[in-house]
Amino acid sequence: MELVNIFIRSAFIENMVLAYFLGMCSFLAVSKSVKTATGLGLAVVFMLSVTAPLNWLINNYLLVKGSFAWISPALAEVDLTFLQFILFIAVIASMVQLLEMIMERFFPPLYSALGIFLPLITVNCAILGGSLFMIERQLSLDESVVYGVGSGFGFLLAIVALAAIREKLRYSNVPAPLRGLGIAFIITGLMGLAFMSFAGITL
Amino acid sequence: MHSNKYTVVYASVLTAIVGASLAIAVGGLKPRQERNALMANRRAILQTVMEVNPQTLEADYQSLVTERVFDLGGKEVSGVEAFSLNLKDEARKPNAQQRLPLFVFSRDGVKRYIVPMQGAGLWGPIGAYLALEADLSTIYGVAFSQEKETPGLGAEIDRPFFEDRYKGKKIYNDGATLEPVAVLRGSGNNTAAMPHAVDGLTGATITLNGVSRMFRDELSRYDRIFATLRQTQ
Amino acid sequence: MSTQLQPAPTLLSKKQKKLLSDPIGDNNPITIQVLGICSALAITTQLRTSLVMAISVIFVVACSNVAISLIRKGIPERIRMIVQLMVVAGLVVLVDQFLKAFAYDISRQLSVYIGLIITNCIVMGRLEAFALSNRPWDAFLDGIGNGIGYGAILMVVAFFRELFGAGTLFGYQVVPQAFYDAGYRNNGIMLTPSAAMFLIGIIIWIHRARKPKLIDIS
Repeated sequence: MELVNIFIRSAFIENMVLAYFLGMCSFLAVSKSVKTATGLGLAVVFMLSVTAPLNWLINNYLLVKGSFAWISPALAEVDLTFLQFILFIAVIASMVQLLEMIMERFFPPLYSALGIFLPLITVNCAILGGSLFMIERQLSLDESVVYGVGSGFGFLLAIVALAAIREKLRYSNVPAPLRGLGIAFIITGLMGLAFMSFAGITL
Repeated sequence: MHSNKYTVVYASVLTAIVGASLAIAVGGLKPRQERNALMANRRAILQTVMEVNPQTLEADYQSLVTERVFDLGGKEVSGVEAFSLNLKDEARKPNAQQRLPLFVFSRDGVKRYIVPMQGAGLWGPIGAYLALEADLSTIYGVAFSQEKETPGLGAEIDRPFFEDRYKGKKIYNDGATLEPVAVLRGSGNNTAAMPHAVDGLTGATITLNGVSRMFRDELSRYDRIFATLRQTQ
Repeated sequence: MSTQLQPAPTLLSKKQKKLLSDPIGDNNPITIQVLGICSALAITTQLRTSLVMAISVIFVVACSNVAISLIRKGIPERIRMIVQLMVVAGLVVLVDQFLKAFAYDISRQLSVYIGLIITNCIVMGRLEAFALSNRPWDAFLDGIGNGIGYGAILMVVAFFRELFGAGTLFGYQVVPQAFYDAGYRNNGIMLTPSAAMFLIGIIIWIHRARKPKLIDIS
């Protein structure tokens, strides 16, 4: 039950994009069509569900004070938390690069469909945010997997919704200077206000 | 295109350089950082009970504050440095081994009990000191000593206007059971008639939920200690 | 390439001046390039915090641009992103450690921005788009220009959010008490990140209305 709660909380109540406003850059830049938005969304789901548990392992078995105690008690005092940012980022960047290489080699059609969005994910702050929040909430390993999948799902949901609205908007009479990016900002703001209603739910 | 060998060597050298320079910096600077952190904590402790004068901070602390350490059952433990305890580490230990620090401030016969608290906000840990009056229920002052929350929103918790909202609130209800102060949602709530609630801040829900949780979790661990102190007074 | 052969007559060539001025107007990182919107939105509730963030970002973008530009020829293509992020994050964390040791109060003020800066895509975006293929001095100017363009938007947004959300500017009360007595209320929506989205949307609107060549046709 706790896991279901974490999923709902991370996907809706604490939605990365519409509640925390993280990952905004790719959210706004890659939401012109539903098809590409779905591609980016799925890639983010994958990245979050892989990097969250991976970074959990790194944090708990490498960084936290006392994490070396299983090797020898003399190392119990070693505290490497100052490396947290760097290692998390390195994990994310190398996962993206690894994913890129694997897909290029084994799934060329998928790679060419997703190719350009992959590098964008490295700079998506929602991914690093996911890892940092998961550590902060002191989740366990299985909870961190659910948290990663949930946050990714929330991002997918939000970006597909925005892309669908933007596709419809092409037929409406938006003032020319506001077209494209301008109206996307305002829609995102309105979606954010709508998502605020989820904040009242306590799980 | 660079060769595989070059890529691997480059990556290892870069990792070594970045890792080593950070490790050297952290190792060399640690004593200074720890001293700074200790002074900041002492200042926060004094801030909950008096106006702090930076010049006499050290002397005031030494003469007015006694550091005490208890176990969960409320028994005083000797031979443990209060500042050597990390609240988060202690919380992970089995109950019998947990040690909790408590700071007692006394001046001109007036006593204040100062409880350290550690919780989690949106971006990182939140730390605070809570000063209780001699009845061990009425809040005399609060100082948020550590936070990394969003500037302008959650980070407002360490501003005096927010800390002052806690003054005079109570952590025990009439039936003498623990009822820690919770932060209400949104701002502009009238809490004058609510001894166990303070007004919140707009746009800082997650930070403030963390603060409420911190009060609830940390104070419940001190429940037995407060009981002992009340008897021995 | 002729500038390499003869010493430049002035400190900044025409092209270099453009590097500085473009990001402030026609190629603004926030309103045109869509970079650095992420977490920075949250901090524009106050002018004071926006100013700190703006200065930190100018500093970090300029320095990391120079650092990457200096080593750009040696970076292996395949792991370039890891290298870029390692260098940037390493520098930022290093500065944070020094501040913690020698200027503890400043570090307490700034440490909240560390996460926001490292995750800020403006840094990474400029590294990819500019520093990787340009000389250090140009990269430095590009960093300063983009930092200022970014900071300018932050300050404008923060001005409106603080004025209407809290009735203050830089923390000083500017909406007189008489207004509140007459029934004026601070606007709570201004304190939510959504308000920042609306304001940036309006800034884009005004900007593009005045410069029709920027209008997005699609």
